[in-house]
Amino acid sequence: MRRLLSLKWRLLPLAAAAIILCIPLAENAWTRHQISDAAQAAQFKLASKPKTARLQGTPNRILIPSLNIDLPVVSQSYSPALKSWPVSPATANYATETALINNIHGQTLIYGHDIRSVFEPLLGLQPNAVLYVYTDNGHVFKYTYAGARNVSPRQTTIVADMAKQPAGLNLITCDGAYFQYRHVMNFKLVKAV
Amino acid sequence: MLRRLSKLLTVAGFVPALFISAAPIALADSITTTGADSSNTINNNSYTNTSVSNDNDVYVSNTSFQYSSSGNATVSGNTSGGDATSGDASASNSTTTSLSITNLATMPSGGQSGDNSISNTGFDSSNTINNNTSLHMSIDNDNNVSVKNFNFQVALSGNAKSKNNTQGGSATSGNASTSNSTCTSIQITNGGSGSASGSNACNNGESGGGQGGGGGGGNNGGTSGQNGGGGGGQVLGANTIASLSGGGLGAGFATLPNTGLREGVNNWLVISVLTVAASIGYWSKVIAPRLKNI
Repeated sequence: MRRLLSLKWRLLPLAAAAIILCIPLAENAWTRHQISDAAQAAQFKLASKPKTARLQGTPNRILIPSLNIDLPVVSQSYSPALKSWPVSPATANYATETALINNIHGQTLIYGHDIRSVFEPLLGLQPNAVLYVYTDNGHVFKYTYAGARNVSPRQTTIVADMAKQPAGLNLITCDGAYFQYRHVMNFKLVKAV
Repeated sequence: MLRRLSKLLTVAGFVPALFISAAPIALADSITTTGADSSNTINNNSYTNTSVSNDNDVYVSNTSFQYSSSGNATVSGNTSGGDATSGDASASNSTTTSLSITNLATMPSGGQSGDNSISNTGFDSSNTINNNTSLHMSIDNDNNVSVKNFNFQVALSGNAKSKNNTQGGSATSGNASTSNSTCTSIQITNGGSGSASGSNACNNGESGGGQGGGGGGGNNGGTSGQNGGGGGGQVLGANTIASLSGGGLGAGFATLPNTGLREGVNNWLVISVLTVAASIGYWSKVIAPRLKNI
């Protein structure tokens, strides 16, 4: 130790390197802390208000505490001319052709890219994982993970089927080495305020 | 009675003959033995609609990191010092990516080609045969190919010192070098009846490090393209033969959202690796020698 101390300022570059290596760790810890706070706030709001008869709204934020996911949600519509869905690179996307977030009938579809900063962590979802969705008119919806399946990109009938289901939420992201599957995750509505 | 029975048998034999001959009627129609001033028309209408959609998404990412460091050479405190030489250090890397996508779609064969005939018609009769064949085919080829090569190289040569010698020898540190060779070959064949050959352009490149070769080929609507022979490395192939049977598309959507997008190398990972490599080099060149001298 005395030897090291005798080197004094020559150790500064190594100290700087150590700080650089710690930055992503600190950033991750800070993000976790913020998401945990947001989840507690959502849970508090859900517990404090009674359930109303009918609630619905356009989703604008999705929060999954167990996976460290906290993303804004933007509305997107299918383009018949391009025969494709616009996909925002850094946010989640709400398919406006599906039901609004609601507590009565019809399932909502939210999709996002299979990248670390968006929906890739969803592939590691655990049973009964909790998900919160915020709407543009101030409602909060709580869901739990019910199950998932891989479907072909051409299996668009699942979108039509969502309209016939009870209130719920579906998330979609890509899966497979060549993105040859669409990983569809179903969430069951628990409570809404 | 016998005549009635023979008539009955004739009719009974004709009915199944009518059904048996019903199948080819669509392909070979004929009208024969009609009366005078009759109007005889055979219409054959054929319409074939084929829709083919090929969607290929391929992502390849190659990452390599090379670190090469030669040792220090020191001649110190000798009355009559000899020479000190450290060895050379080198690292090399070669990455080959060959990619071949073949989308095959064959135009369906033409419509009806049966024989149609009108014969033995009566006086002043009007005879017409109309053959209308319509073939419609649409092919949608969507090929998304992404190849990313990341290469990081660090070469550090050691220190050479000759000091405090009455008759000092020479100190020579060895060379440190890294080299990298990257070759990417992409071949896409859309339509036609050809198929991509198994060879690729990478095999035609010069051997040895430091040379980056590459080639890409595209061939639309024809026979297969040509490239060199196959080599080592990573070979990915996607071969899609579209089904001509088609299929129902629900709710007016052609496809589900295409969320297949992968990031390249994490920026923080690159920064961390470079930081660790620089720290190791700094430690071995600056800190470690001083610790020995203390």
